[in-house]
Amino acid sequence: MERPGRTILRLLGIAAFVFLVIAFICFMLIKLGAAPPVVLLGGPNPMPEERAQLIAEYGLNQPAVVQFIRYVVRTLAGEFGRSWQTGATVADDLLARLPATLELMVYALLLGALIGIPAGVAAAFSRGRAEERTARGAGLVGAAMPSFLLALLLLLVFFRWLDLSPAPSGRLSVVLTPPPTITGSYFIDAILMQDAAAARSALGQLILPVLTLALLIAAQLTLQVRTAILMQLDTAHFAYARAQGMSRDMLTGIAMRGAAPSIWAAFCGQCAALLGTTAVIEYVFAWGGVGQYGLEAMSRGDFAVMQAFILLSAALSLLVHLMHAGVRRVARLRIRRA
Amino acid sequence: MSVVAELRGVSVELGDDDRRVAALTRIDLQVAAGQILGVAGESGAGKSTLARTLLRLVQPQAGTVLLEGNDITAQPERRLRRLRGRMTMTFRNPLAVLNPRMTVRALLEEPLRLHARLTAPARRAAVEALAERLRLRAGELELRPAELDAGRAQLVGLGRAIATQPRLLVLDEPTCELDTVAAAEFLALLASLRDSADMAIVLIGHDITALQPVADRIAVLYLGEIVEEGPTADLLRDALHPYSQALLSAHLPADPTRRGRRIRLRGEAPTPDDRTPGCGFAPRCPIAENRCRSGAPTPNQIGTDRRVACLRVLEGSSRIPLTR
Repeated sequence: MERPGRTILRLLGIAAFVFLVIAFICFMLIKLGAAPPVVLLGGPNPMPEERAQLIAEYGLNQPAVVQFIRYVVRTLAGEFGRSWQTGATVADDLLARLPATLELMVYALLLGALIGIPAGVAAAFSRGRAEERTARGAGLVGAAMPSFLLALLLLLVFFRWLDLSPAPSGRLSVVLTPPPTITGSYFIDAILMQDAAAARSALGQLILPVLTLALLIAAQLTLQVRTAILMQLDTAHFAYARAQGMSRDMLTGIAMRGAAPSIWAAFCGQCAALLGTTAVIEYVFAWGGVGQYGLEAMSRGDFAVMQAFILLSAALSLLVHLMHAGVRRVARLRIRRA
Repeated sequence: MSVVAELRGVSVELGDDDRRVAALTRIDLQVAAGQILGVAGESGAGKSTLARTLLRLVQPQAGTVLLEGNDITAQPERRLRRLRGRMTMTFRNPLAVLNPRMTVRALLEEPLRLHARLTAPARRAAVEALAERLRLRAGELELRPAELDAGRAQLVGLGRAIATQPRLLVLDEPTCELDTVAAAEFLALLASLRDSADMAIVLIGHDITALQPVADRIAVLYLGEIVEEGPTADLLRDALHPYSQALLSAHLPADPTRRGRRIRLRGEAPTPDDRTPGCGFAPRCPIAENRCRSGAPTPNQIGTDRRVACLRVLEGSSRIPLTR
């Protein structure tokens, strides 16, 4: 019998190890950078007092091992240094931008799953017919589509030609003031504050970036869910259920239950890969989230931000992995108890 | 005798777009009420596909599938669903198909829920009656599949299949996972069902001798074609197709005074992938002639109710000479 406490400990151990590896890579980014660390961290022309402060803060005149340990300890304490672009601490910058990114990601995941999973199931059940070929073709096109290209195409059609969506200029029309932060989602906060104009504008701004991400997620989910369900359709117990004369809904339920682990894994895979795609979409729509912040830091050589962004991506992946493994364990324990 | 299920010129191809194989080719078959039709053949001969085609779980590419005289070849799934209580089937590995979370009682009740409009008490009574017919042991109704051995599980599978009093019952190698005693019990139960329930039963097995005790007629399947079909007694006494002869001679008689006169087939067991023109059995047939490799034989009626698909059978030269 497996003890859940030990499983959690093992997963946390793996997480700690992965964190150390990622932290090492981030650390080496500075050591192997094409400029002195002071320039990488403090910008092209740091003032003498800034220099001294950076050297003291990072222990830059100490041996590399000590520097690495200091880096790990500082990171664990939530200190990621300062962005020379914004002048603020990276931690503050990230916290300020995180709600915007989460808003995009959560809506996109929900919409993507809502489109992708039913499409995959329908494709599998219409095996060999035109419906399947259509769903599969659309899935392949979507899965092969570069994210920025899809975003630009949608902008071309809905903004430029049809004029149905607002300009890609952030989360809210520039003439409106953002609602006070309650959940961090402009749309929900505006509704909570009963600010109809802000809510309408926030929703309008959300539609295209969310749709872009959701379509990309849905395309891959369609393909993955289709495969998972097809494998169920070929099992003996499914053929048996069909021979029993079960209704289409009952059969769908049976196939879904059998494919649930694969579908859950596919969904988690989408969650883990999402931050990278979101960064590109944020850039296109000037969304001002974490992703855009990270991308701009990379193009300008703001190394403290780059380090933090890499760590954030890794943390997100680890979180998704823990979520995936955790749900699987719980499901397995429930099956065993039944 | 009324014909319950019939296949007319049925061909089935399996696989996806890139790779299609002919699983069944121009099958003609009838099975009547109160009759057990045995179907024998090697692995890959198309036995399971035949079972699934009879129930229209597989859509044939050509030919007609009839149930009680009604054409069900092109029926949409929705319409077929209502017929599924009248044509049922058991699967090779019962433990792989029974829902592990349900008790035997719930498993036997499920087909009644799906197909019979019964009140809850009537349904419970029907399950009890069914358990009695299956000769289930006391307390067995409350067990779950994991607590059953293959023999008992197959019995539950049979119970589910006959719960709705079907007209056609197809059993796909029901005894292949069972030990000898359980298999004999199962076949005895099947014979009693045939006599009491007036259904048409198709019993599929890879072993002619396992079919022999209960089957009224036997069809021999080779590479998706029926090479010989006829009454069990005739076929066992005097098999006419070379393949049936080989299949029968693979069994040593339980009689030490009869010396084993075995026909050994050369070559690999066939797969539908590497079909040659002409007779499908020709590459392994000990008495094949050149014409066998070019022209495919059509089934020839022999006597009143036998048919054999062999070019040499009309000349009476289809028997493999037993040298040694």
